[in-house]
Amino acid sequence: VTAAPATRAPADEALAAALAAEHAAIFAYGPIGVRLGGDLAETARLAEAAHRQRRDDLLVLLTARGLAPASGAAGYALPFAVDGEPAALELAVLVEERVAGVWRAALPRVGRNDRAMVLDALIDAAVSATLWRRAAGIAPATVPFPGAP
Amino acid sequence: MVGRRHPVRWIVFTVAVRVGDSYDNMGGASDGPRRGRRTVARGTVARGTVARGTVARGTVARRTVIGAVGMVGVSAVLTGCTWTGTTASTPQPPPDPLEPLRRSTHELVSHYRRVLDAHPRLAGMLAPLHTSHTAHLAALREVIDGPSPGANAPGGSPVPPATPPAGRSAPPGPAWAPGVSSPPAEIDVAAEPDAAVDDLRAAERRAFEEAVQACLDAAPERTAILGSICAARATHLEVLA
Repeated sequence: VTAAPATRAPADEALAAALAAEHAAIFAYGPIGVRLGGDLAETARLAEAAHRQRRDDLLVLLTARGLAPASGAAGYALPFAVDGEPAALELAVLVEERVAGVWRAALPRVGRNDRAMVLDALIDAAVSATLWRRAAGIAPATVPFPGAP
Repeated sequence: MVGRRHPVRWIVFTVAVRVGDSYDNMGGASDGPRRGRRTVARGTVARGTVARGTVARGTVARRTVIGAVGMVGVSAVLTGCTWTGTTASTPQPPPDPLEPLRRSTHELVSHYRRVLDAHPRLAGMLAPLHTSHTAHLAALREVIDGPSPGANAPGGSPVPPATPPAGRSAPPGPAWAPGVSSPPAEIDVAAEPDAAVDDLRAAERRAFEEAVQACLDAAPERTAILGSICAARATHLEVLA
């Protein structure tokens, strides 16, 4: 593995940002998961697994390109206390919306070979956000432009 | 809840399979296909399923190129006089590659409108989706034609004309949408609400697949808005499931 160059290409920057977002999402699903039960806990487990898979894929991909992918931080400041199911659902919506935003921002910057992977990640996050909105009783559960700023 | 994730995954998967694939752009070339299949079989997030479509893009691209060449040929014949210099008609610019997506999006908006007219009780579920598609249509219009002055508010862009009431066929109006030469095909709305939703779901699935392909084929600066449209359609399928 060679050292990361001082300035990275826009595509690499975009994927690095996506990696950072996935790290943070995985962290957030810890407190989210413990506040949910039943089907919601299972949904959280699947969503977290999806983020872990994306993180691992990004680690492999960035490493293969000679970049030094960042590891996740030991902890992340949550935007609010996750003290119950409502807060857990709210945070889950927020996490997926942010992840969707990062992947969407990456779309125009990555090469064509990476585009499908990025699109898949955006779709995944948007669908998860919709599942969480519905679980939280937020109507409508959809937004016209997932990931848009 | 768990099962609800599968339809979209499966759809993405079928898109990928339809265009064929070798999955060797993801780093581990030799491990790719096996990994992908295992993921889908496991039924977790079918990650990389769209990714498989990428490699397949070679196939799609060839087909697109052939199609485009064919269209150029046809338009050359239709406007052939230009070549001889005997007329003053200016050559038509090639159609925007997003024109088919705009047209089908317009049809989808119309389809939702008809179902809403026939089944007002479905408004709680369908109205937000109709609103999204209308916004997508405006966005596509802006991408293709450029920003239209005086229509910059969200949802304030030109909206397709109201459909005939009760979903019965009526003579199409003269101007359905700029750049759309023919009105959307008449769509019969099923009398049963469930059946009407089934039809919408099928249309939404086709629309999702079409948007994914359009995004994969698009110029980079168009991918963000197209990606959002893809994602929105995937979430619509969740709502309609």
